[in-house]
Amino acid sequence: VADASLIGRVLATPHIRVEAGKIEEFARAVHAPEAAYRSKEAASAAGFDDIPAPPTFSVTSAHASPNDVFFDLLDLDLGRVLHGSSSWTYHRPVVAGDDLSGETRVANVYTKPGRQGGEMTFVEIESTFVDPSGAPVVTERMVVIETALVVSA
Amino acid sequence: MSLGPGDQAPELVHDPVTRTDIVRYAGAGGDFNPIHHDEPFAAGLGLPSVFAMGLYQGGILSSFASSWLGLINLRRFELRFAARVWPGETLRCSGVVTSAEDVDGERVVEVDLSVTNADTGEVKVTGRATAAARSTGGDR
Repeated sequence: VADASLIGRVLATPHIRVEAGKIEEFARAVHAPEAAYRSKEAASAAGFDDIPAPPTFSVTSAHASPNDVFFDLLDLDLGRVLHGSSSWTYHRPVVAGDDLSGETRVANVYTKPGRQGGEMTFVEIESTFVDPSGAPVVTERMVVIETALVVSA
Repeated sequence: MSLGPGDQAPELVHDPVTRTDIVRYAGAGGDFNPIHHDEPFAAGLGLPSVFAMGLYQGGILSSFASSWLGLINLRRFELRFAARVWPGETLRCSGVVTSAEDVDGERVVEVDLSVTNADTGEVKVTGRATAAARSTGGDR
């Protein structure tokens, strides 16, 4: 079980080299039809400096999947872990050619009583991605929930 | 024309979710948890089949929001995962503007979004987006 002592711990330092081919593959996977994801000319016409990444693209840094090693670091029982929510704040568009460095850390840990007894644990994990100059590009926040362990009588 | 409170996105109904859709997202997104692609593994856990990762239907919702609001206008996007999506389900995306205000000289709208089962109405994912309202144009 995770506890508040984990707040602030750095879990990963993901790196994303944003490539046009990866953007096209990801756009197809999330059923995004726009030409801007596939052509530099269309991207330019839509106001981007290069081919833009879809809104949830930062998950491709492989820091966001539930079988990641950091669930071990968090001491969460994978069998009881749910992905509750995710959010992204965009400081500027992510585009092909970007070289992003991320830091993934535990932003908060708290508990709530489970409906059938026991305790649910909420872990908020924040990843901040910056460009080589250190300017923030995108901040991703994810909440994972470890459901209550109900001991049957 | 810019968006205002009450404006609704044209609804979008996708083809039924296939295992191929789920595997394509696994490859693109890098989520290789076998519960999403390995049928015997899922059956071993007592599940009726594999199911989609929340970020698959979340990604579909992000595409819907971007087409409606314009990707370049997007400032913030949020997903809350409510229910699993199984192969064969037909998903509907919806969106409505809930508020508009001026922030630092820019007109910004808040939008409520959802993915529901088109047949039963079950809510799969809800979303919120914040976007500049300077145009309604997508990037198509």
